[in-house]
Amino acid sequence: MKEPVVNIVDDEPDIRTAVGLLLKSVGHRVAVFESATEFWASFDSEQPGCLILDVRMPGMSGLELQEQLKRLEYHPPIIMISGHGEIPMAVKAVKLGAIDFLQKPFSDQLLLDRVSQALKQDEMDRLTLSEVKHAKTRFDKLTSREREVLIGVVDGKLNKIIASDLCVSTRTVEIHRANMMEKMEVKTLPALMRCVSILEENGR
Amino acid sequence: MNEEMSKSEMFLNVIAEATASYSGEAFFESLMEQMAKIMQVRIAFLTECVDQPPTKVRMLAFWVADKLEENMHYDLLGTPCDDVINGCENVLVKDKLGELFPKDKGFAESYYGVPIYDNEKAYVIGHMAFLDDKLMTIEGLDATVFEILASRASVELQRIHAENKLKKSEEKYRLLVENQTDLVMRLNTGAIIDFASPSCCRKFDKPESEVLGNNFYEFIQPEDKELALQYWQKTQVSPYEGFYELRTYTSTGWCWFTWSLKGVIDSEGNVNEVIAVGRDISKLRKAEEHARETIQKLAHVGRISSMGEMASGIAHELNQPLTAIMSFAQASMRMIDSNMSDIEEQKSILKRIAANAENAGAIISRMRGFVKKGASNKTSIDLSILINEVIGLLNTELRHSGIIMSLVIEDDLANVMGDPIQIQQVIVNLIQNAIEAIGDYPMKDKSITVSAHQKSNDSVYVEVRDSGPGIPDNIREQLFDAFVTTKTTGMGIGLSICHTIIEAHGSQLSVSSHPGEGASFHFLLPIFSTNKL
Repeated sequence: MKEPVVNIVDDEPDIRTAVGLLLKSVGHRVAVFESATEFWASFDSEQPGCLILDVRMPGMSGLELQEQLKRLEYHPPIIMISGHGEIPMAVKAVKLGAIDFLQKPFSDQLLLDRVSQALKQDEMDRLTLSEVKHAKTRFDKLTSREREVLIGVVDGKLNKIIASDLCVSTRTVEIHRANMMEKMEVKTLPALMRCVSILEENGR
Repeated sequence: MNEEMSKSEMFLNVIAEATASYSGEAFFESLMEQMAKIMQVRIAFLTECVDQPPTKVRMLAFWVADKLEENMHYDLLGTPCDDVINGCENVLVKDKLGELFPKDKGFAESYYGVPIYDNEKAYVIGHMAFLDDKLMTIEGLDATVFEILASRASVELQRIHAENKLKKSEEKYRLLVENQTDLVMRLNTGAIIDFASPSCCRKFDKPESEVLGNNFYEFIQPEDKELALQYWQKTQVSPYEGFYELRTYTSTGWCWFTWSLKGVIDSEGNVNEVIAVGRDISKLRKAEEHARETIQKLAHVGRISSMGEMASGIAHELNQPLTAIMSFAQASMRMIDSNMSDIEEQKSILKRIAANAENAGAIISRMRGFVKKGASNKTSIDLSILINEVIGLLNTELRHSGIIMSLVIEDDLANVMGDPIQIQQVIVNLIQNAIEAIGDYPMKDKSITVSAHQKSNDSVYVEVRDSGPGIPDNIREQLFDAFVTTKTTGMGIGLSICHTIIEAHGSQLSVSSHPGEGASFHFLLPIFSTNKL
C-alpha cells in the first residue's frame, strides 16, 4: 500500500510553501500544484491521500475541480480553504462532500486535525472501494442462472421454492448455489448478504 | 485806375490789420464790422451752409448798424442769398430790393452778396452779404477784393470745420477710453507710461501724476516680471503683439490680469509706442480654481466609493500574505520542536515571513495613495507603471473572476501629463465596470484589454476594452450622467466623475459598444512637455 500524499492546490506560491512546510513538519508527504488543471492532469486514483484546495483560482476553480472529481469512481477527500467568508460557497462545497471549509488565515492545529481526519476517511473510502471492486469482479463471474439463484437465496427462499420458481429441479438449484457461493468466495449466508448489500449500494 | 487800386489796397490793408489777431468766430465778427464801416452799409453778415446742396444757412457774424446782433439761421428760398449760393455768383441789387425779393421788403433796400467756396472751389460753403437802406454802391471796389476776402473767410471756415471734426473724433475716443473698465495705457519705447486711462488710476488707487512717468513693469508682480520682459520683445517685431497673463498691482493687492500689448508702427516702420490693455481676471481665476477644487473633491468622493467597492477584494488580498505569515510561523515552530530543520531553512522561512509582511504593507500603502485627498498635481506620468499599479490594486478581483487581463502598451511610449491619482481612478473605475459587466455573462472568452499608444504629436490614446455583453444604445447615451447605473448597488457617480476628470485633462471620455460585442472606453491624454507648465 502506497504512503498517502497530501496534495496542496493553491495559486499563491507562499501559501503552497508554508502549508507544505507545516504538513512536512508533522511527517506528512506533500505534493504541491499551482492550479486545478495541473492537479487534474497528474491525478492518479491509485495514490491514496487527500486534497487541500483553494476555492478561488484563475482558470478552473476549486469548486469546479471538486465537481469534476465527484464524477469519478474514486477521489481523495477534500478540504477547501478560502480567503473569502462566503457562506453559499461553503455550503455548496460541503454538500458536495468536502470534509470542511476553512477560512484563511486558519490555525495550524485545525488544518492538521482536518488532514488527519481526511486521511482516515480516505483509508476507509479506499477499503470500501476495493471491497466493491472485489464483489463486482466476483459477481461478474456468475452465470445468469447462478445470479437468479443468488437473488432467491438472498430473499431467504428455500432451495425447493427457488427450484419451482425457476422451473428446474431442486438438485440443479443446489449445484448452482454451491458454484455461486464458491465464485462469490463466501462460506456463510451473512457473508453473502454483506457482499450483495455492498453491490446494491454501489449500483448493482 | 490808380485811385481804384489804392482804394482797394487801402480796403485790404485796413481789413488785414483789423482782423490780424483774430481767429474763429471773432475773426468773422471783426471782418463784418470792418467791412460794414468801410462800405458804409448798415448790415453785414457772414453765413455757412448748414446742408449740401444748400437750402439753409446759419450766420456766424451779424453786424447791424453799430453792433453785433444775435446770429440767426434762415431758409435760402426766396432770398437773394439763394442766388448767391446756389447760383454761385456775386449778386448786386442796387435798390428796390423788396420788389425782387418780397421776403426782404422792409428789411433793406439794396443788397450785395458774395459766395464763399471750399478749397477746390467745388462747393459753396457759405457767403457774405451786405445790405443797406440806400443805394448800394461798390464803385471803387474791385470784385477781386471781395474774392480775396471770401477766400480768407473760406480758409478760416474750413479750419474751424477741421478743428471741430478733430475735436469730435477726439471726443469719441476719449469717451471710449475714459469709460473703459479695462486698463488702457500708452507706453513709449522704454515702457514708460505716458498715458493711462482713468480706469488705471482707479484700479491702482493713485492719482494720474503718480502713474505717468513710471515704467509699466513696476506695476507687474516681481515674479512675473522676468517673463513679462521677455514678452516685451514681441511688441518690437512682427506681428507686434503679445497676449499674456501677469500678476498686476492693484490697490487691493496683486491680481491676475490678461495684458494685450500692441506695438504701434509709425510711417517709417518703427515701433515708437506700445498700447497696453489689461483686464482683471482674478474673479475668473477664482471661479476656475473653485471649479477645480470641486472636481477634486468629487473625484475624492469617487475614489472612496471605488475603494468601498474594492474593499472585499482588498481584504482578501491582505489575507493572502497574512495567511502565509501565519502558516510559515506555525510551521517553523513545529519544525524547531521536532528538530526537523536547520538554521538555513529557518532563515529562509523568516525571509518569506518578512517578504509577505512587506507585501501587505505595500497593499495598504497603495490603497492609501489611491484614496488620499491631495491637491491636483499635474506631473509627468509613465503610463505603463501607472496601469500596472492599477492592476495591482485590482489583482484579487481579476483573479477571482477568472478574467484574463492583457496590457498592450506601445514600446517607449512618451510620458503623459496629468494628475496620477485621478488618472488611476479613471482606469480603476473602467476596469471595475468591465469586471462587473463580464461577471455574469456566460461565455468562454473573459478578457479585458488595456492599451495605450501615441495617437498624434501631442497625445496618447488610452483604451479599456472588455469582452462583455456590450452596452445597449439607450443606456449608452446616458452613461456619463450622474446617478445612472445598471448595477444593483452603487450610486452611479463613478463614470460621470471620470468624464469630468478626463475633461479637465483636455479630452473626452467616450464609449463604443455594440450589444454582444463588448465595450470600449477610450480617451486621450496630452503628452508631457515642459512648455505647458
